[in-house]
Amino acid sequence: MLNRRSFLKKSAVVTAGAMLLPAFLKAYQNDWKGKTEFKGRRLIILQLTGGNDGLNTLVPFEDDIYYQKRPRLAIPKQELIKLDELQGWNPAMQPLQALWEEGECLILNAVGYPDPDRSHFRSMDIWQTGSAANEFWSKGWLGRYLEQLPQPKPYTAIELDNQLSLALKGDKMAALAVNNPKQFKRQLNSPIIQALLEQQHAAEHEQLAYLYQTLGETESSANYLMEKAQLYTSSGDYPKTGFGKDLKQIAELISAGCETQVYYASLTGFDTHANQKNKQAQLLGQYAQAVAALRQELRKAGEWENSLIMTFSEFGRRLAENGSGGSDHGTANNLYLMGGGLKKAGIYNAPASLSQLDQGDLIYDIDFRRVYQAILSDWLQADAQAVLGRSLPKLDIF
Amino acid sequence: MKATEKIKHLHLRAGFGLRPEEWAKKRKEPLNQQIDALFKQTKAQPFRALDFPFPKDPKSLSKKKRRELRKKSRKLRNQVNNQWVERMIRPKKESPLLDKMALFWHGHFACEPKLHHHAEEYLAAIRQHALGNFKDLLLAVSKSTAMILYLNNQQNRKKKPNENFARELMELFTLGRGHYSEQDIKESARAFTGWHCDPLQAQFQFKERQHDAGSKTFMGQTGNFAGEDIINIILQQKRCAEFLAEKLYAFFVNERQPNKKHISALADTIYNSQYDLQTALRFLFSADWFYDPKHLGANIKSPVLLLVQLARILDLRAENELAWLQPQQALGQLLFKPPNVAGWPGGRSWIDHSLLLMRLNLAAAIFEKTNIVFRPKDDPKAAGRGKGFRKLAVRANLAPLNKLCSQEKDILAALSDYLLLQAPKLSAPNFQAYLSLAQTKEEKIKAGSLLLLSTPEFQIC
Repeated sequence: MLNRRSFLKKSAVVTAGAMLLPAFLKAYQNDWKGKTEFKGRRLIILQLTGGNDGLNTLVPFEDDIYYQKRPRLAIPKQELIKLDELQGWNPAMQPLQALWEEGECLILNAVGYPDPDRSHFRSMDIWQTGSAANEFWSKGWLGRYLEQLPQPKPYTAIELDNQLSLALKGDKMAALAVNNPKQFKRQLNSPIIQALLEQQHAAEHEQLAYLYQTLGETESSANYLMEKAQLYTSSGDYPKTGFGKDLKQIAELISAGCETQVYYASLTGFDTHANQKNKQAQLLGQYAQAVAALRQELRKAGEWENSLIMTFSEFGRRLAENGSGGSDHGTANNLYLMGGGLKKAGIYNAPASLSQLDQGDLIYDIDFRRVYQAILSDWLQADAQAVLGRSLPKLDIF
Repeated sequence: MKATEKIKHLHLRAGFGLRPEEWAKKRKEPLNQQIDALFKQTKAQPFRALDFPFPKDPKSLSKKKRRELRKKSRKLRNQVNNQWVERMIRPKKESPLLDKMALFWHGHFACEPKLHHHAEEYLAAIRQHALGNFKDLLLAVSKSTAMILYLNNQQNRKKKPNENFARELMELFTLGRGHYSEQDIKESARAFTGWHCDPLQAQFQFKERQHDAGSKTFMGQTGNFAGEDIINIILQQKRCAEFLAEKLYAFFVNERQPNKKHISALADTIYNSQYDLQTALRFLFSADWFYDPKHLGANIKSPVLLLVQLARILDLRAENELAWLQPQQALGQLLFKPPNVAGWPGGRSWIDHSLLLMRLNLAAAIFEKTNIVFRPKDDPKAAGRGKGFRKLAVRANLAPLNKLCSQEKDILAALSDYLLLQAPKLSAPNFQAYLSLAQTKEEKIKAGSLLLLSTPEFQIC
């Protein structure tokens, strides 16, 4: 209970037992307790931030040019996890070997877009909005997907972070950025915010009504997620890193029957201009271990068939290594789809040519927006054209 | 609209809100006197140049040394950002309208200067001409090193034109989509060939040898146009004045409900004054419709406005070099780092669930030194992921607020009158319960201002 002494010490934020206040009519709050469990399909996006070196993640070991252009960086053929007769995984991907062997992974080679931009931020915006390289959109592709849904809730899409990515932003509807439900809820604990939530607010002022509504939804969502988060505690073997915790959180929410359809998490640090080998191996190892643990838990919960994981990076890296044991910003890259309900598995198309390059960079074969289109229309059963604002040649993967 | 409401409205739109001592004085002054005051001291006072000269002949340096210089310079860019925010908070013999307009132009001519002296040069250009003539401003920005590099005019050569600058010049800076042809872009790109810069010295260079001096046909006119000629032809189009009027209206009047008649009147004023910005803004702030109650609180404060206004109310002082940068980053508007060439989309895009929470908790982070989230989003250089919770490195001084309230009986009402355009229901028992814990006058002022600065009502302008 707040008393005068603690008020003087800390008048804004109390950590436990927020002030007991009379309950007024809560104009904008929703009670989302006790909703039915979600059984539909879900999408998990994993973003490798910084530009993951695709050529050293999935190595074209039969191509001599790879070994010529990368005297220091190239991974010897015998160390690779061979996926087919041309390409093999970086050994750090070993935790995902079982997933690959059981036909739960589809790899697309040379995914990119025309007139590639080599700036991290710009290219990330292009990937996150689905715009062309010369278009500037302020809504993300998943934000626009949410706006298409009949009755989306703030937690229909969740990003495991404190700030929301452009991918999940819409005009009318935006996803929820939640680092973890407990921490999220704590931000609402101040007596002032509680007092604001308790007051019945007049809706005559358009912007104020919008802000109060957003606040009300935030609180309802925080309560909903807290409730779900307490239902199930994961025991999986996740790496003890931020990314590991994020995927663990995703597993817990899914296992608890949370209605969230889209999850978004990122792993950063892939901008390996120098001393790439160890750094990338460490990051890929972390990624692979976390995904393997997530898969195991979703299988246990019977949710793996309903789950699709897409992993991408804003660009790949140049073919030739640089002078510092690293690689510089490039263009086309591999993209990974994983899940228990894939129709097609394996490597979808031929690796990017290493002899035909555009200014030293790989030439894209599949426009990434075709992948979005396939996910939207054939996995999520949404109107892809309305979301993407264009119609592209169909990619037959689901 | 009440007289005091008009005053608050004017200073939130034309500046960054009033300090407590300014409010005490200005709330009683006639409005037209306050509008006049905005147009005094319109000359920009330059910033202290940062002491970091690049060598005249960088080629004599090793590649490694050059890389180090660039890295150091990128860091110094933060200080340019700091200097600017400090100036918004405590202007030096400058009208607050000057930096408000400079902020508008930064969003309009969105650009990311990479090195500190590029930022200095670009900022000097948008401040010097913020309240001058649009043509001078457009020329100065177009010739700045930051913009030449950002829009690839450095790669725009006679034999191999690069159209990026020409396209954005028309699409984003002057005319808007649909008011030029692809042919206009091609032809004008040729006119801008040869507009180069020396990145290390941050200096414009005209490279005669790269310039295509041949004949061009642009918007129906034919001649051996240079870049300046293209800009002149663009400014001849009434559409350019309309485009500016639309953007100024959204920024200063109402971002959600454009009024065609008023925008058209503003466009006429801009065009007839040959793009004199003071004439346009004076017209805007003097128009009756500017004070229509429906515009009161119709916009959402940009993060920079929110931060600077808070700093002015609470007399905030930065405790370290990153103090102003971190909240800009956390709230989604880091100066010199717009999301792209189209600038910050603004309006409701400033708000999502998490950002609103952060905004509402911002005053508490200052008053109570509670933690707030500051983790750069999508930072490709970030090694790993920390918790991302930090304390705001700023210090508040409540003396000016205490002074403002010293004679007041109803402190909360006085604070609300000063801080908000629209008051929440202060009589609500939950608010009263919270406030009743404060006993001394100073406690009441502290609790009351913290409460009001934490409301959704404080987010609108």
